[in-house]
Amino acid sequence: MRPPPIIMQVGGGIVAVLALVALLAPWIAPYPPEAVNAGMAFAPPSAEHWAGADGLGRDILSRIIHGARPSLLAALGIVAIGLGGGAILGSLAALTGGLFEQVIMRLSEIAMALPGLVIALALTAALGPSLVNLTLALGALSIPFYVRIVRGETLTLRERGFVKAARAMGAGPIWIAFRHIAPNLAPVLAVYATMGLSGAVLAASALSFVGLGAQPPMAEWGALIFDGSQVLLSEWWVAVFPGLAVAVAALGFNLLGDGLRDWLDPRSGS
Amino acid sequence: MSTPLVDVEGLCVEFRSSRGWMRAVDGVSFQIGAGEILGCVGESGSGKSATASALLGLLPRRVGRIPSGAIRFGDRDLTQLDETGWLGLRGREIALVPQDPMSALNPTMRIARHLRLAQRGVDRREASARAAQSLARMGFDDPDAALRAYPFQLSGGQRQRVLLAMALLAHPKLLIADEPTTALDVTVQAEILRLIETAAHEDGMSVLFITHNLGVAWRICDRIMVMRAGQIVEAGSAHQVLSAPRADYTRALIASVPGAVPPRTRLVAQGGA
Repeated sequence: MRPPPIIMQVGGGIVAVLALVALLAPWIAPYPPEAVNAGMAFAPPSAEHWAGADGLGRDILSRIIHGARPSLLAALGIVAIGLGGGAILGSLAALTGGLFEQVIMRLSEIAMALPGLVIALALTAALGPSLVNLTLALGALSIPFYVRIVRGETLTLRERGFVKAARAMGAGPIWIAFRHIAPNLAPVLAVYATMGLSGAVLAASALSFVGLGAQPPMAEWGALIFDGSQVLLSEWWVAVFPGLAVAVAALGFNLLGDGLRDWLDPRSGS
Repeated sequence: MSTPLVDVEGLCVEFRSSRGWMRAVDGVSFQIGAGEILGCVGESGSGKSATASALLGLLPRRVGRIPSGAIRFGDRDLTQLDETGWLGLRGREIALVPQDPMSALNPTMRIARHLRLAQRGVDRREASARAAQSLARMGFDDPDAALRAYPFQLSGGQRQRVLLAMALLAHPKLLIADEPTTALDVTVQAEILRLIETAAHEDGMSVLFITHNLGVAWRICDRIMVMRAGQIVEAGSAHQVLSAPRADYTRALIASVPGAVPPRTRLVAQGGA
């Protein structure tokens, strides 16, 4: 197999570091994330506090490191719900056809015509602001996107020679779905899921920023940015470093997804 | 010939288009005896592949149908078969060698798995052993290496031999070969034809051999039917059809084989249906 492209290695590296940071947060964070220290309120970045401290003297770097957990977990949850629901509905739509397919596809078109983030905002507000509700709302709203991809890919795969050959050899519909369609769907979905993670990190931060996600004192990237937004002009570090974390995470997932697509695409490269 | 294995009578196949149901196969009748190779020759759109799909019960749902006609296979009428019945028949009594070897193998499965899955109702160990034997019979020098390979690691000819092995492992009574050599170069073509011929004549397997290549049909078929616009324009022994064609269309087909006519001769144009 070809070596993975550079952007995939870079993206994969970023994602791997983020994952490690999230996993090892309690051990690598220099301070407890909720340790208040009035003497250090709004301390600028220094050798002691690399990313400075917030209004309660909490170490920003530690809060970003701990914030990686809820932020990445929410992103994973969103994509898992979207991809899972999309894979089931999309492949069923493609394989059964008929009225079921029509209903699913028209519904997902309606859902895609709605402004997703606004609906997610309303939905989360209605369910009650929490990270779990935010994940559920954003996940559910991303289902139509995956439904369309999965249905399209399944329809293409169904017409591929090996599926026809398998049918001619007596393979039943369920066998074909799991042995012939699903494995060939996987690489495409891996690419979209990775790209989706980037969008999910951004969307989760956005909703947390407006107070619909993680509730204080939990450290979460979007919430951290909000904390710093009021003092952006004087104590810029409070908002900028968590913002960087979001940007780097989104960039990492995008690069990884992009590279993955080039790598898995038999038509590109050698 | 006693009762033929396959007895098709007045078969019609229609496909739905924007202008309603279009007839692709229009009242076709033919028989295939046990161990006989029947060639089905015609240009694209003549109804060859639609006939094959009907024999496999693989007409696309909702857009394909058989409005009339009968396909007797043994003592069953296949036009009356439901999907469960077909699942018991395909890959057991009727097998297919598909047209395009490059796409007919699942890229995510090794060859061994393909060959094992082709043997339904055979236990795993037994199936693996037979898979290796079948590849050896298909002329693979190193069957074990081929078994471990993924489809992309094999050449077109190798893949077509794998597909033929898969079809033959089912020990079908009827093999439908849908242009099995079209995508292959001439030497590989000859090899595949020899293997099909051997299986037919040694095991008494019937073959419906679909091709647009008259040379190939001449080489392998016992009898030939020539199809055009959904109908059989001529049928008879391979020798008779190709050396003394009665239908104008057959003559035109023969004349259009490259090399069969002197250069700069006008090709005979045939009006459409």
